[in-house]
Amino acid sequence: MKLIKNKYIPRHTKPFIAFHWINAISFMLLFFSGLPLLCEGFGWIYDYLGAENVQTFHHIMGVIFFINPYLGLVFAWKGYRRMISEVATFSKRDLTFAAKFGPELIGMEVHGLAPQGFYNGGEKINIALQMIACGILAFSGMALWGSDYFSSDLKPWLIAFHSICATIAFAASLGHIYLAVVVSPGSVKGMVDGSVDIKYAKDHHSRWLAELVNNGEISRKELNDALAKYR
Amino acid sequence: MAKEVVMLHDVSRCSGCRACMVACKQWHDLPADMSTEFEGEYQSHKDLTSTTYNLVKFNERLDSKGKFHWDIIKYQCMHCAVPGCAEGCPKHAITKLEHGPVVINEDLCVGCDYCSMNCPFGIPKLDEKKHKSTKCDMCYDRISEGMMPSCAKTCTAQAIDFGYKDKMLEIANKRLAELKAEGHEDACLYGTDGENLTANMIYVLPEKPSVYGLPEQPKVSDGMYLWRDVIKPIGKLASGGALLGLAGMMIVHSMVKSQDEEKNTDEKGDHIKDEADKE
Ligand code: HEM
Ligand code: SF4
Ligand code: SF4
Ligand code: SF4
Repeated sequence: MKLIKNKYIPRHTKPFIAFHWINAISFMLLFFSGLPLLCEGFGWIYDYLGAENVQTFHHIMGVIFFINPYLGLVFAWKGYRRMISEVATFSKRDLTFAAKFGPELIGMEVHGLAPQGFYNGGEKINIALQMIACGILAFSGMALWGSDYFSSDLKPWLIAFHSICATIAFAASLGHIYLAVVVSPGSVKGMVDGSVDIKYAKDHHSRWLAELVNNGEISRKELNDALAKYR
Repeated sequence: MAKEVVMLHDVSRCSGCRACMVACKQWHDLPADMSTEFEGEYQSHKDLTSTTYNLVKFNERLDSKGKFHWDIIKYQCMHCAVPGCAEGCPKHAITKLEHGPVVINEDLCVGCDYCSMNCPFGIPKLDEKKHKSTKCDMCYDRISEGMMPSCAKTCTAQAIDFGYKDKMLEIANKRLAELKAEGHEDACLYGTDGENLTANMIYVLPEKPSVYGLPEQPKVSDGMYLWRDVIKPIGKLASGGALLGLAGMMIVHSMVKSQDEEKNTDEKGDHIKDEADKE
């Protein structure tokens, strides 16, 4: 692996980025096309676009949202395996990080944060939470849509699970966007062209860099040369 | 409070002539529904549809002695005292009127079908063309003009009755006593305990409710109340709160950052800033 322009380090593959954005966009469109039923204040969405159109749109987006991760598992296998294995190896280190991270949210620097791997503790929590919430959303959504096939005792619970998961997943996604865009803007490039600034990687994911060096994917010299420019 | 009205179907008197089905369609201008295939039974439609608010069911049954029975019942909305359909409608499009009928307001309905999912009987049916929910409205428009519901008016066997609560309960209790006296051990009333109403549609049944496909203990799901009383308020708070909180944090964040930069324009600050400019 080579650094790009001696400055940027590849982090995500193109297919992985594509699946991320399909997921993100369909998620937001699903949330806002479902919202009129959860929140009276958003009834105007139905009024402007027509209730039936918005509901049909919700179902079509739902299909995309449902199959997207399965396609991802096949066509961006590396990135998805990484997410799963990172979540599976959640450790005390991650918990300490997440607990101490607070003040960074409002732009203060926290010293003595444990060095982090490919994903930090907060990201791992976010990934795990979204996997669960979106999993329930996708399945309860499909079940609601084809509700003729389900027992009638189940249906009101499906509505309840669907809306609580939508709420949780939406609030979490706002936090995720805030962290990316406001707190660590350096990370956004990773979801645009797939590479991140080496300094950003060093500050936020130093154990990942160490891992790359250990695996021989990048030479220590190249890394140090690139980092030297920042001194 | 307005005086409550009740519709009564005495199953033991019903001859299964289906005049009430036709009368219902007539009053509501509903087309014939030819969607069900003929399967060699007297049962016409399998279930209510968006153009069939009232269905006379013909269940075929062999009793324990091997004797054949037709269990006939006029099936329709129960006009529940606590209607799950109305309680769980996100648009508040369904109203329980003071005197009893449960009525859908088409103008408010958005066709989400939640009412059908929240009804213990699954009564409301979505009209695909209009994208509105439909069901028996107890002919509330006729009632308000002092008329009988169309089905009750037309009944050829005096099995359907309609009137004020006290009168209907009196009739129901009397008929129940007669059935018991005739040896129908399982005879019962449905929609009432004989005194209080759990629905403004009541039945006199010669057999257990389950024989007619009715749930023994119809109950509005706790899942609906969880959604309505807990999740909806939280959903509003959480979504709104998250958006507001986000705006607040962005302001604080930019204030803290700009303070930092005034103090020392160190490399890290600059670097993050021009990185942000690029995005
Ligand atoms: C596989 C994916 C999904 C399917 C098939 C699906 C399907 C449905 C269905 C059938 C409804 C009932 C109302 C209607 O027909 O429009 C509904 C409601 C709703 N959906 Fe989805 N959905 C899916 C994913 C999502 C996602 C990812 C979100 C957002 C985060 C979401 C948010 C909502 C909301 C807020 C409601 C209204 C819930 C309420 O009444 O409180 N849905 N969905
Ligand atoms: S039977 Fe169903 S549709 Fe009729 S009032 Fe009761 S809950 Fe509503
Ligand atoms: S389909 Fe109409 S009446 Fe039924 S719950 Fe939805 S908005 Fe209310
Ligand atoms: S009360 Fe009116 S709407 Fe209801 S079944 Fe009878 S005729 Fe039909």
